[in-house]
Amino acid sequence: MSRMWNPMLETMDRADLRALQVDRFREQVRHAYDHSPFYRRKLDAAGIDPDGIQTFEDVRAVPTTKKGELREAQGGEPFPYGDLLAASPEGVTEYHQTSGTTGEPVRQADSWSDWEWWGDCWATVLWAQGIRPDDRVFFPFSYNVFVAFWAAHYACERIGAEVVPGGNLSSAQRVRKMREIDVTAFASTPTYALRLAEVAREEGFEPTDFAVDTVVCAGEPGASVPGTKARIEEAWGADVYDHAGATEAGAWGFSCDGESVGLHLNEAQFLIEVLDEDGEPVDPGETGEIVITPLNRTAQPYIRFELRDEIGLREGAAVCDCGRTFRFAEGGVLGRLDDLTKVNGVLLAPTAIEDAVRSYDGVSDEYEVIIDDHEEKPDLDVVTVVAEENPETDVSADEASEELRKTLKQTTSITCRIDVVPYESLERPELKADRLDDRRENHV
Amino acid sequence: MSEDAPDDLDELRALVADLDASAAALRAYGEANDVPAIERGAKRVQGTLDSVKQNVPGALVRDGAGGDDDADPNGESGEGHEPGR
Ligand SMILES: [Zn+2]
Repeated sequence: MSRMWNPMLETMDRADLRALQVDRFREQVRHAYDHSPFYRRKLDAAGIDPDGIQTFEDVRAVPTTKKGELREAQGGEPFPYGDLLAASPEGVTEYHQTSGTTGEPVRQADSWSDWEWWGDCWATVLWAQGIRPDDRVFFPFSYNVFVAFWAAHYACERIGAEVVPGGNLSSAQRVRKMREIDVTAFASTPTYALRLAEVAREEGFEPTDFAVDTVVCAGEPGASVPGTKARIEEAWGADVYDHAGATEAGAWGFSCDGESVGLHLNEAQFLIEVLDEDGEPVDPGETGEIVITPLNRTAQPYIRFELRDEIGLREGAAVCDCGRTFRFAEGGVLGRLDDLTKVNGVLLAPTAIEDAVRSYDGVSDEYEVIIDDHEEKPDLDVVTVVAEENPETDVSADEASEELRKTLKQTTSITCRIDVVPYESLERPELKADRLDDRRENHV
Repeated sequence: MSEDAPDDLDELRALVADLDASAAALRAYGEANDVPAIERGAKRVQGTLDSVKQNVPGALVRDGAGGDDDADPNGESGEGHEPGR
């Protein structure tokens, strides 16, 4: 059986793929121009004739779209999507929204064909990660209005796998259900994958005895953070895969069953530009920010959306042994620009702290980061990492603190205070963890 | 009403049968060429088409129905879902 959901697209010659991208991009811009007043204003102001887009240089002349513009546009008519909407309100069949972690949520309208597209994009992800018709896939979440797990749910259906919704259950009930019906895979945030393993042990099970052989991660970057990935693999005795997506974009990146560590970019469904600070494309081997255009969305299209995710771009056959010609984000999403925060003038990526904690056996999985003003010198910031003792080792709290402090100094250049507390002192988050508590008064 | 709209039930049934045949051919292509996106996508079309057929009086629902070809429609084979790969 094919390792790819669609080998015709996933192994496409790069020149053909680029031609397909420009054609689809032009069609998307045409559609947005004809049906969304928001885009018509933007494109007119920039003097763009959609039909004139013939090259990647033409693509780069099209103005980018920022998250703030979306929120502003959604304040108007037609309610509740504003004139971002490029379909009649009756053409909308799915409502979702962003979680609003970085401000007011963005509402997302999708038509029936958009929704099929979502499922197909997620099927590309799940098939690459080994989900097949004989799998029984569990979703241990109440999906609410957030799109990712809904789309993954329907992608399982599309693949022909059996899909088990696990909403409105306690964590203990979920692990018992997983055990009871022998689920072979589950989809989860990395945070919750670790939490479920912990709960399984509390319930008297050994998670590695479960039938689970695949964990598909979404929602947080953890499955490409080596320390976290290794902890999930070990906890479940399963292969752990990463995915990258956004409500405004779709499921644009996925890890595969090849030897590489990182994400293939789904370039058949998205035009993904990786740009430097001046908006110029970076070369393979360099790091840049993603500007993304989903190529087959109709109800609420996104033209050159500034995703604010940073990746290290790779290209070529040597990148991964799976045979895909799609470009590659080495090590996954390196940082969400919205998550980066300045501490004493140094940029701190929360994933660096996550990796340090999760790579070190002297502490357990859960942790918290508090950034506050220095007690005596208000110009100085203080970072405190609170971690828990690991009941499975005899490392003392002092030893663990010293070790973590050293690692963090090396990896982040910041001298952190470390507070190692007894096991289970910290709160256990469910869906997504908000582990960063920024208490600084004057920090913008 | 569109000029393409069928005039009578016979024509409606024929259209459904055509769609059924097209979906089956797409599925065969996907299988023969190992393209799950086409094979599984066409299977999904067949499933949707089943419910359309059920709404057309006199259309054959069972014959060549788009459900799983491997499945026993009477449910007597006793083959359940096998977990694991
Ligand atoms: Zn690969």
